[in-house]
Amino acid sequence: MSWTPQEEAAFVARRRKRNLVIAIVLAGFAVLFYGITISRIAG
Amino acid sequence: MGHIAQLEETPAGIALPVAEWRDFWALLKPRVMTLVVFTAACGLIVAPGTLSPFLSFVAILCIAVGAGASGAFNQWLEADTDGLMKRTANRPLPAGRLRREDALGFAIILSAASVMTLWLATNWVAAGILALGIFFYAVIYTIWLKPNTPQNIVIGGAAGAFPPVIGWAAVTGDVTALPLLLFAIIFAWTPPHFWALAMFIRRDYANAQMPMLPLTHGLAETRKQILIYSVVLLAVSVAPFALGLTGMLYGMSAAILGSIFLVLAIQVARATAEEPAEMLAEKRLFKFSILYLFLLFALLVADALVLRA
Repeated sequence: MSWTPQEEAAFVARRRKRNLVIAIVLAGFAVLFYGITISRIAG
Repeated sequence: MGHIAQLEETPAGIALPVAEWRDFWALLKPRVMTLVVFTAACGLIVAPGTLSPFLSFVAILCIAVGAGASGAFNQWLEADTDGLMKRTANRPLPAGRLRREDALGFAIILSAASVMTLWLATNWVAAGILALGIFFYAVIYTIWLKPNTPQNIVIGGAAGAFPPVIGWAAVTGDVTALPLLLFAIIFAWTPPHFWALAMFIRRDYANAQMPMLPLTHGLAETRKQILIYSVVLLAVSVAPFALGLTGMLYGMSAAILGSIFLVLAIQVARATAEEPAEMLAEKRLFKFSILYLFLLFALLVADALVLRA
């Protein structure tokens, strides 16, 4: 598959945005489980 | 890149082999999630006992994500029929913006994550009911009931009735009479709500060959069934007060809201319109049914807070 520079730039931008969302979700998961652990211990 | 089977069109018209996060978000049916979050939160608030604000947030988040996973399973299973209906043709799968296997993987991961996290944060009863709810919606409703019987909405209504029960169980670890009645209210509310909609978009369902009641039994029978279920809804909605499980505020509200619902259902039963554009009574009932459920549950919470004060 050969892309024009414009297509490749658009593809990379979209992939970067999706990866950023995945990173945010994973970080959120870490915070969530930390919070659950602390809350359960405190409870 | 061979594993990426489907290309998608950007607004600029460039074909790109990667789905956007918005397509995954759309798989979760976010508008349906609103009602799920609201009824789950109501179940959680009216339950006796306490759960820390953070764990309450986690519980509602898990219920919302579990409901979203059900929606993703549903869209994965119905991608072909969704493509035949105007209302659903632009969903990520029928529109070709997302690969089917990605949607399935997403649904499985969210289901497992939501059930296990809810178990960790609260208890196995709540997690078990959430798992049952996801299974019921994806398998019992979508695969079995929806394409095979005009009673699909009646029995399938149970799938949408789980959230307040899960919210309750997250706090108490058990299921008693009040959460079961909340389940029954949503169960009885679903047929008139959906059939009112199905009447004025029945041609969409006909295109998708879904055996909805207006198509299989006609408009007159559907109008009669809407009326019957509205009577049942009124009876079930006042039952928590009649059994002494709620206060006067809820009892009066349920009676008034249920009576308005019934009056609108009587107007539907008397209507004879056949063209969707002329189905004013059906559209009125459909719109009110959404407001009805929000108000009823909000007043249930208000009633519980008044009793505790």
